[in-house]
Order: sequence, then C-alpha cells, then structure tokens
Amino acid sequence: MPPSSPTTPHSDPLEVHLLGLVDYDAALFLQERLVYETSGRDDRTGALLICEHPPLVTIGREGSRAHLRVEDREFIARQLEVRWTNRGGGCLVHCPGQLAVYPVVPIDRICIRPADYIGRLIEAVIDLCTELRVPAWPSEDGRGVSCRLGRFASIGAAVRAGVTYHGMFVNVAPPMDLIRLVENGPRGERQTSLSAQRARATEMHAVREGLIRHVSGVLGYSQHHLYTGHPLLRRTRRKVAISA
Amino acid sequence: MADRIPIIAPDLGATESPRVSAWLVEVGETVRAGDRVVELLLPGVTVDVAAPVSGRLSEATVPLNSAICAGQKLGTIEQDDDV
Repeated sequence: MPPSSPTTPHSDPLEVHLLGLVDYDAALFLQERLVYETSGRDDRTGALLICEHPPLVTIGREGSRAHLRVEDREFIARQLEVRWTNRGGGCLVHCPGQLAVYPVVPIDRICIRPADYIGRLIEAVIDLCTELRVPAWPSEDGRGVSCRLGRFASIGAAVRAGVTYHGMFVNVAPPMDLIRLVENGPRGERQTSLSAQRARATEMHAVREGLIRHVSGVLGYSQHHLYTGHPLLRRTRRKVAISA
Repeated sequence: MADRIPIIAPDLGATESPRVSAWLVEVGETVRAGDRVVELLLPGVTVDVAAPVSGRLSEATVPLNSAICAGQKLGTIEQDDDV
C-alpha cells in the first residue's frame, strides 16, 4: 500500500444508513456482513452506519475490568450488560444520546493506513466541532476528541481484510451518570458531552448530518447515498431501563 | 517437506509500534489462506493479519503484548494446500 496522503476524491459512493436505536449485536452482525461483502468487491464503495444503542458496556482491547468504576452488582441492577469486543479503544458505556458511527470502508483500496484512518476520524469530529463553535482537539492518548470539559468522542475501530468496522462514539446528550460508570482508558480523562460543552441542547440530527458530511470528506468520498434503516435489520420491540 | 511461509507484520503507518493483542489461532491448528491469524493493536484500532497460505500454524514467534515493527516475522505456517 502506498504511503497515506490526502485522499483523492473518488466517484464510488458511501452508502449511509441511518438506523435509529439498534441493538449492539444487530449492529455488529450488520457490520460483519458488510465487511464480508465489501472485502469481496474490487471498487471503493463503502458504507456508513449511524445509530444509537440501548444501554450496555463494551470493553475494547485497551480496556480492562479495572476501568469499571462500580461493582458488577451495580451493572446488574442497572441492567447493563458488559461485553468484551475486538475493537481498539477502552471501556465505553453506550446509551441513547450517544451517536455510534460505524464506517465500513475498504481502506486498503482508498490507500489509507490504519493509523491515518484514526487520525481522519478525529479530524472529522474536530471539523464538526468547528461548525458548532466548540473548540476541540485530539485526546492525549490519540483515540478520542476532547474539549474544555473533557472527552466527548472516543474511537474504537477494527480492520479486517482491509475493511474497517466498529468506529467511533460521540456523546451528544447522553445521561452522563451512565457514561461515567467506566473510565475510558488508563489516563481516566473525564468524559463529557457536546451538549454540556455548549451549555445548551444539541440536536442529534445536526450532529448526524455534520458527521456524515465530514466523515465522507476525510475518507475521500465525493458522494454519498442516504438510506433510513437497512434491509437486513428487522424492527423489534424491547424494554430497556434508563434512569430518569 | 512442507514449505514454511512466514506471517509478516504489515505497515500500519503508525509512529508508535503496534502490539500483538491476540493470537486467533493456536500453534498446531490448521488455517486456510485469508483466515485471521493474529490481531495487532494501535491506539484506537485493531488490525487482523491474515494467513498468507493454507496450512498449519507451526510457530507463533511473537508473544502477546509484544511491540512489533513493520516487516517483522510474526509466525510461520507450514503450507498444505489440501487444508
């Protein structure tokens, strides 16, 4: 693979799926299916899944149980399942109000190396923040984006067969008591949200729209197609507990 | 005698050294070309390294959590196209 450089825009599209509130397992299944399909193609078409998850905790390869701030029984009481995953990054609580952004993109074919891919995701979030007039910068550990009040976006990605999956998580306006049940990494940077930093409500759809635009741009996609839902996902009902 | 094909660490474009975060196959197990064999970790991202040929993983040269560099041999596969 040639060294990464500013990606030349290309004509293959990014297929963007707005999934709404989706179970973590269903979203992971869909990503793995898309990785399989994308790795078998020879063009640069990619996918971008955008969703929120019901409350649960995931621990990435850089996390450990030591980063859980409360006892197991507290997670059980809150009906929070704890899952170990194969993504990068540390411990994260997922819940409504946090935007999960999953690019499934053939980085081999668009000539972006994994380290540079992380840099570009961070750049997309910082570009979005510039539009929202929130001063933001890469987190000290290089796998998130921070603002004055703390970290509000975390990267936890994976690459299989030259195709990315998992991705990044942006705290727009989640319940912070849930988010702070875990430390996000060994340095334990305080976690915050865009709404807290802006000191006013931040519309989820505005963040979503900005992220689609900026993620497409930093990955070199000159066009994207927007869909609501995905044919492989079936709508179901499930009761989840969220503290008021 | 079966050919011994090395598994080579790819260039991930990082300034800091990636680490081996998981061996996904145990020594002695058979793999097919393209199967995930070992997982590397950079801050924020894991990268799977695939088997270059079908055969049996005969050696995992680099232990878990070791830092590696691009082009380094991670392990060896004894090629067997009948797998």
